Amino acid sequence: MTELLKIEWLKVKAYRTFWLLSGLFLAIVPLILWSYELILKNSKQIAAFLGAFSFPKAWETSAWIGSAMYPIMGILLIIFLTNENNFRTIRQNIIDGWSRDQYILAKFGVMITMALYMTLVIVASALFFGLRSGQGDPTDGMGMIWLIFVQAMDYLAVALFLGVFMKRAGVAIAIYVMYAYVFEFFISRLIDFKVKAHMGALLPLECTDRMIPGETKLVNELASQGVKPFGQSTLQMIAIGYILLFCFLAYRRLKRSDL
Amino acid sequence: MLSLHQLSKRYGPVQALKGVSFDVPAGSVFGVLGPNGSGKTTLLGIVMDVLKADAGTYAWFGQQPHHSLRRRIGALLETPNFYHYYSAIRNLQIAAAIKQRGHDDIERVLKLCGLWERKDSKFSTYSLGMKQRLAIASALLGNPEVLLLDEPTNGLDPAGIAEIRELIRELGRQGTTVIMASHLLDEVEKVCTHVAILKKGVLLTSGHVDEVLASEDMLEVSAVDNATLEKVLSAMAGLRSIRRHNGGFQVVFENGFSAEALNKHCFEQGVTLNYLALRRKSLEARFIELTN
Repeated sequence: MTELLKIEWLKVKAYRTFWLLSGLFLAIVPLILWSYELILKNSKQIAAFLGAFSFPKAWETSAWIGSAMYPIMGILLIIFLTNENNFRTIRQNIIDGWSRDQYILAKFGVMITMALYMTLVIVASALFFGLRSGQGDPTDGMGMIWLIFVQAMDYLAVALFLGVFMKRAGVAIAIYVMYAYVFEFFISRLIDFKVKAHMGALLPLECTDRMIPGETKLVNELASQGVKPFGQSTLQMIAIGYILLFCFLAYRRLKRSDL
Repeated sequence: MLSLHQLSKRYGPVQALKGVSFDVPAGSVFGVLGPNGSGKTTLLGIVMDVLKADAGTYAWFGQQPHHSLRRRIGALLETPNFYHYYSAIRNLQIAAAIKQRGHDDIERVLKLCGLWERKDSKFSTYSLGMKQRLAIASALLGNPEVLLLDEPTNGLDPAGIAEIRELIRELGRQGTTVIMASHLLDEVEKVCTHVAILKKGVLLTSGHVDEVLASEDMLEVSAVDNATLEKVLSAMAGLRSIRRHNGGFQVVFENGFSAEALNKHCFEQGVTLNYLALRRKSLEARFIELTN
């Protein structure tokens, strides 16, 4: 696995888009958290009521706000995958002596590494803003770190699926962004209110958005019309189910198809 | 070196390969010929595992297909495939890493293919011919036992074509097995020791160049008295065909009748030849005859 990742590293280490997008993610997560902090500072009462940056809640706040930026890394993963298709380097990698399994494994490795990086950025931001607030104990609620990783993996799994099945980067990215930011929100609310309350949580990204709800929890509770929502562990299982499903579909496609 | 057994492949309604079997002997320079769409690239794609056969098997080095065996093969399939945003050097570093070879061979292959001076330029800035050269350089990386080249002279200028031809010949002399698909027949004729000819996915013939062309030797003759000559020739046993050509005749015999024997026979029949030449039917003529 280390060998495969070393080769994947060779492929990106001087690739400008890679540095640009991962750098953007690194910068934008603390920036967006900072702006949230500034908004809250305007009203001492709301800030005290929410306690957004005091531990353990600082973990959830950072994960909730930061997750809005996960599509940046998803887009990067899509670009990696569609590049291999467009440049036909996926072919060349196999010709040069990788097995199809090794190619797929390398991409899973890239995906896990990216999820770890995303988790690290969120955790570092949570620690920074939480410690700055001076309230609570950082060791409190650290279990959230695992959930952050699961959510990051889930966002990347959808990107992996699109990147493998769609040949064109532009189309795949457009579908991904529109789905993550607009369609899923719309569809999930439609299911919630027209089909059955909370069933919107069964959608691929929505399950993790409700697993780390942040302040949308209030809205969800108000809108739930007295029906009990899915528990956090159930949502986690749904998310893991989706991650495995998308990875399996991508694997099967790469394993069987003509390259 | 490479054995194919009953390989078949279908793309929807198109049967790209139909039960193709042949063997590539070690140390040969093997040409895979066929008109456009005859299944050459599909065939090479299958043995490199980038395409999946519907039926049939193949073996490299007498062993079941395994990805580690591909590291002993240098291949160029259809198009040069490289990371557009990287230089030649970086691209070859990736190829070398996958082939599990050191970086020490990169300079040699780049110089051999005339790209050393442009080694740090991005692949996307290369001309078609330079891209092709880089693909050949990548295939040569680490001195593979087998080279598999699909239309290797695509996009090259005449000097480039001659260089690559010379390179393939030299590698063949050194014992490297070269498998080459091409529709440039004179290229193949100049370098190949063996050929396989495909048409619409069916193998028409395969074997040593001399065998494929052997029965096709043709004699050109003429005499002052062509009318008598024609009678004498027409009466000969084993004559397959005779036709008028440039004031003489082109004759083909069933069993490789030698020029000497023909000359003797005509003289004995009282016809003195003023022209006699042994013409090997060109690969092109043979190819067109087979594929039409």
